[in-house]
Amino acid sequence: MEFIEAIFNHTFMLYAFLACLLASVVSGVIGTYVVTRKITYIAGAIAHSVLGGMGIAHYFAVVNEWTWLHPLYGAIAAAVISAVIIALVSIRAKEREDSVIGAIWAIGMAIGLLFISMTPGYNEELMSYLFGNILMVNQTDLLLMVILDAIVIIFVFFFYNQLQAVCFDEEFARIRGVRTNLIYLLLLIATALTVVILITVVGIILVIALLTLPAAIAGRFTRNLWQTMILSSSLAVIFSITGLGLSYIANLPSGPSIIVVAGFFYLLLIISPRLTGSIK
Amino acid sequence: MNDNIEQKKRLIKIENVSFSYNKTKYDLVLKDVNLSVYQNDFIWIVGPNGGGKSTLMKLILGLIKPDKGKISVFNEKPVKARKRIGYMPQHVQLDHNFPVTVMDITLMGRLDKPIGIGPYSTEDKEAANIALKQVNLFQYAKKLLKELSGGQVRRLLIARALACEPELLILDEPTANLDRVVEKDLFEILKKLNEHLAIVMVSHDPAFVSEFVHNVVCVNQTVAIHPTSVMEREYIGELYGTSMRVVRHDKHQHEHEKRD
Repeated sequence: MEFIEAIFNHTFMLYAFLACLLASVVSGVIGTYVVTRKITYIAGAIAHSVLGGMGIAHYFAVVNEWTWLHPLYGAIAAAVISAVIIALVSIRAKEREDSVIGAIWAIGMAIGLLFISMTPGYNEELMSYLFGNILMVNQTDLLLMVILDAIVIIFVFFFYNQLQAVCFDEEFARIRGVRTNLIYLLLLIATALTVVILITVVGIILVIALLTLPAAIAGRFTRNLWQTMILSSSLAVIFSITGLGLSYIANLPSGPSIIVVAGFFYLLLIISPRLTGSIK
Repeated sequence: MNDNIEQKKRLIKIENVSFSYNKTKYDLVLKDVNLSVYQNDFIWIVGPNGGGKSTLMKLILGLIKPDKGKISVFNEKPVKARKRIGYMPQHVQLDHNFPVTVMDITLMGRLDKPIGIGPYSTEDKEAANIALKQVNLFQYAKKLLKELSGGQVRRLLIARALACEPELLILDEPTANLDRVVEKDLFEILKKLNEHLAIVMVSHDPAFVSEFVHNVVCVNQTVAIHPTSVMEREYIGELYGTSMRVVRHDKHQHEHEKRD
């Protein structure tokens, strides 16, 4: 109750609540593709490379006093660039994909850390990039999240059948006239935008969990992709709001609280086969 | 080939085609291949692993281009013609835990859209229903992929190939890991489809060929074509409870070895 009151009485709690909802929707939708197409590792690389973009944006914002340059703009740029590089490498030379993903993962972080150390002053924001601080979400962040959410949802709405076919059987989709390389590239870009949205909630390091755990749980109970998306988004809402409430009441960091709640349910599902109704 | 070859429409024409995956080395997978497939043909492509069977199919589907020679399908380039080909890949490539129903998968055969986006139309759904009926899977339309048996999965993949209302069906290993009874059911379906469709099928099970296969094409870098002949019918019939044809291709395999 105390938590629900807080949502209505404190603006920062209301913003945090809305951020959770916005993040949950895309987490469920894109997470479903990430899990079924098995590109978790790619999403991880994109997430970590984002620190590079945020570090550079923050550096120029401080040094050149470009106050308009929000770290999230840098995050979007870095995420999209990483997605494009990974997609191109994967289309051109399938066998090298793994090492390129690993390289992007590490190089992005390294660039970020270098720029953060070069930025004058005390950089407490570093911690909020890495682990997220949903209580610092402001109106600008929310507006940006709404725009990114809209882009991702519209994309999935129009390309649902093509995305499903590319994730299920890429070669067959190509023979049936689907531009599979383009669809894959767009899917990775949508994943990149989703990662940026989720970073504001749980931070770079914990993004993967919020992206994949709800979809992995949902996939066990659903019969097609849109059902998986709806269930997975609902689970993400439950996990993130529960985690947020927990962090508010117990005065804990919000990102880890959300992930612990999601992880708890996932493990519960794995160790109790009776719940899933299928024992293999 | 059959006697009335002159009246039959030629669907696939492969002329002197060579192909290698490694372009820098002289490492040919296929060498000077010639092959024609006609209307209502039922052709079984056999050969050892790595002999070039799958490569030949990928060439016909336009997924790869020949280094040398010419391929035309329906008198067009393969890339253009493939919308009229129904294709069934090897089922091992699929993720059987993918949350997707039999109907969803069949509809993937209807992805050819003028603008490339948007939902399926009523016609698409109608075509998918017809395809599912052709393989006796209509009552399973709402089942999940993981709820199907091995034989049902093959029939589903054939339905998906049929959904685009093709003029030619290309099947990659449709009978791999199936027992003889299920295999027989599958062949009954293919036999019926063959009444209005040409079928090209790859399999590395070269010993026994069902009685309605017209030609066996043996691929091992080069290509040899054998008309099927009825041999030892009683013996094999006893063994498998169905009439089969035997293809003797030990003779030309020796030729292959000499060439290598």
